[in-house]
Formats: sequence, structure tokens, C-alpha cells
Amino acid sequence: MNALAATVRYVLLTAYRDRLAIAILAAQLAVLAGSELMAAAALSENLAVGLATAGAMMRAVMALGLITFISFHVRRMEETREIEVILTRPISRPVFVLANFGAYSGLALLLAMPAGLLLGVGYGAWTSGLVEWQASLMLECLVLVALSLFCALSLGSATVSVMAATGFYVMCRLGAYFRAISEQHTGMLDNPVVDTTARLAIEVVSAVLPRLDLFGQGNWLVYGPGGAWGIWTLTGQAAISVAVLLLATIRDVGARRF
Amino acid sequence: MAGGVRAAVWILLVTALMVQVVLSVQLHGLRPAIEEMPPPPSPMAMKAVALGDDQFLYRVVTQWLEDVGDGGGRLRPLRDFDYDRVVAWLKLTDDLDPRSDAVFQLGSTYYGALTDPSTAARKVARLVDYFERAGMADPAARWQWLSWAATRNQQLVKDPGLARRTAMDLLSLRTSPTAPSWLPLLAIPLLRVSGDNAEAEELISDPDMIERRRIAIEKLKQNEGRP
Repeated sequence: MNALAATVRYVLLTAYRDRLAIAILAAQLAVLAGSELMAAAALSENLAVGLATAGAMMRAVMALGLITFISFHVRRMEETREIEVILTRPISRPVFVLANFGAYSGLALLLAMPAGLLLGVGYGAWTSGLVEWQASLMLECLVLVALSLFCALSLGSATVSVMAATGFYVMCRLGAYFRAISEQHTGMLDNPVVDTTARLAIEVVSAVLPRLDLFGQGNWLVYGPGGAWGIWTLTGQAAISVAVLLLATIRDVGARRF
Repeated sequence: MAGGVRAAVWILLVTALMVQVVLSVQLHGLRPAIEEMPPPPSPMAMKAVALGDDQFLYRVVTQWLEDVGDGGGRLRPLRDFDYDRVVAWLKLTDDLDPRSDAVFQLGSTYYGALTDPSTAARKVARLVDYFERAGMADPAARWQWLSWAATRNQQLVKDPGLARRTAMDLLSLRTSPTAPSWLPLLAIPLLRVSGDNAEAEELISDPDMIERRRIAIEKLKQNEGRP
């Protein structure tokens, strides 16, 4: 319990020192201002333009902010040998990973809160769609934290970690489309063996990837909750993804790096 | 850093900035290229670009369709646009959010506002054709675009074949419980455009159409607050 509390305290202090909260809040305010500008320039349905733009950009701010912060934070912990110091204490590697995940998650959830508030205040959109969008953003942040932690602890370089986590995130949002293209045979390769192998690879990869494309729908902000899935599906998806990524991280930390 | 080195850095920095200013002045005459409207991607590729958020892409592409052809303070006239391509983009974008009317607002008030005498009729006919089909697919929700297609055809396009098809489609809505009851009245002027004057005259004296006209005028008067 002490280890967990100390880790949470350490992460919060370093996030404060790195001005992460101020940077993300400033970016979210800039997104709100930019989306207001776009909405003002639209020919019609200005409110919908503003909400959809602000929602997508705020999600991107959270994704890039968390990936960058966690990647460089872990790297600095390695460089200053803080990880090794922490692991000399009576703390197991699984607890170390879980403590870090808990700390980063708490931070991510705190930083995600203003996004919905800004949308509500900026556009007066206090709707059930906003509630679903906010809940979805927070679940997506948990997956992003687990993903960033996995990349940061598994890869030696912060830059590589940022690139890998961003690439994986984009892949998670694209996986369903690759699969649809493969199933509908809208893209075919000349060589049948290569074509079949590529299709099989896409099937396998897209089955393993979390369906992040279902999270944070701008439609909810504009029209209210809808779609063939709800917050419970997203909660289930987030829980499975976080579990898989954390187990992989624990395995990697134990077997390879420390 | 020694004083001499610091001074040298400052001198170099100021010099570099001055060179940049001179280069900017030299390049001032080079104007940015006007963005062209490319052929639309496949529906699947379009959805992939959205990264799962169709609504965001819908709004961004609608805005882009409003701005494309405008670059560096210059405007490409609407008469130079390929309207087959414009319609393909509008249709592809509409598929991202069939509940919104933004694409039709853009098509009618921007692309449909073309007045160039040599090209307007031919180009706007593409929009009229698309609006008519989209309107007939869901007349309850999109009757206003059906109405736009009918009046634009009557006043500007004057395409006999298209006018005949739209007139027949409008008349088929007489049995529709959801389309506005006055909508079939728009078929009469369209039949004149298509040269079917006898059919138009017959419809004018049709009791059902007379009743529809009476109801429509009554509603108009109500809306205007007249007795």
C-alpha cells in the first residue's frame, strides 16, 4: 500500500513539475477556441461543427499528451535509476507495474475531466450524449495509459516509445477498416498466395487489436447516445485491453529489462 | 560563454533574421497554389480516414468543400469546377451522416448558386439530379431538397428529360403519408419544361390538385397571419 501511495505521489509530483496539467488544459482551451472559429465559418449547423471538431481534437490532445508524458517520464526514471531504486524495496514487479498504472490512470482521469466540462460550458451541450462521450474518453485514456506504459517499459528509447504507442493507437482505430477491406475484397494483390497471407494477417492483427474506433464518437455530442454499442461494451473492451497490456508489461518487466 | 562569442552569436542571429526578411521579400511574388478538388476516395477509404469518428470527418469535409478552390487570396470560379466531382464528394460526405442537411445546404446555397450563363444550366443539372434522387430516397426528411431540385430545374436548368422524371416522381408522392401534401403541385411547371403542356393543363384542373392548392394557400395565409 505504501509503495502504491508513494508511486502515485511521485507521478503526481513529476506531472506537476512537468506542467502537464497546464499544457493539456491550455491545449484543450486552444481546441475550444479553434473549434468555435471553425463553427463560425460553417455555412450551416454551426453548433454541430463546433462540437464534432472540439470532441475529436480534445481526444487527440489527451492521446498525444498521455503518450508523450508517460514515455518520457519512464525514460527519465530509467536514466536517473529511480526504477532500480524502487525495485530494491520490498515491492514485486507486478505491484510496481500496477502502482504506476494506477498513478498514471488517476492523472489521466483527472486531466480528461475538463474536456467534457469545456464542451458543456463552451457549447451549452449538457446532454446525455456528452456524458457518454466523457465516459468513453476516460475509458480510452485508461487504455492509452496501459499502452504507453507497455511501450515505455518495453522499449529503450522514449522517442521510439512515443512513435510505437502512437502507431499502435492509430492501428487500433483503423483495424476494423482493414478487416472490412479484407472481407469485402475491395483491395486485392496480384499474387494469390501473398493476397491470402495478407488477408490472414489482417484478420489476425485486427482480432487482437482493441476496437478503439468505437470510442469517443462525435455523433453522441451532436445527436445524443446511439450506435449499435453502448458504454458497457466500451467498458468491457477497455477492461480486456488494459488487462492484456498490463500482463504483457508485467511479463516484459520481469523477464527482460529489470 | 565568453563576451566575444556571445557578441558573435548575436551578430549571426540578427544577420540570419535579416537574410530571412530579405528572402521573404523576394518570395513575396510567389503566391500559394490554389487547392484543387481531387477525385473522391472510395467509401471505405473515406471511413478509414475518420479513425472511427465519422461525425468529425463529416464536419471537416463539409467545411473543406466550402473552402476548396480558395487559396492565397484567390478564388477559383465555380464555373471552373467539375460538377460530377462535386456531386461525388457531396454524396460520399452525406453517407457519413445521413441525418444532417449540411451537405445539401452547401450544395444548394454555394455550388447551386452558379449563375454563369454559359455553364450554369449544365453544371447545376448534376446537382439537381443528385438532390432529386436523395430527396426521393427519403421524402419525409428531405422534401425541401426535392423542392429545391424542382424549382432550380424549372427556373435555371430547364432539362426536359430531368424535368419529366422529377415531375413523375413528385406525382408519385400523392399517396405518400409523410411527404408534404403540396409537393406534387411542383410537378405542373416541370411538365411545362418537359413540353408536356396537355398533361400540365390536365393536372391543373384535377380536383385532387385543386384541393392540394387550396390547402397550401390556406397554410401560407396562416403562416403569414392573414385571414
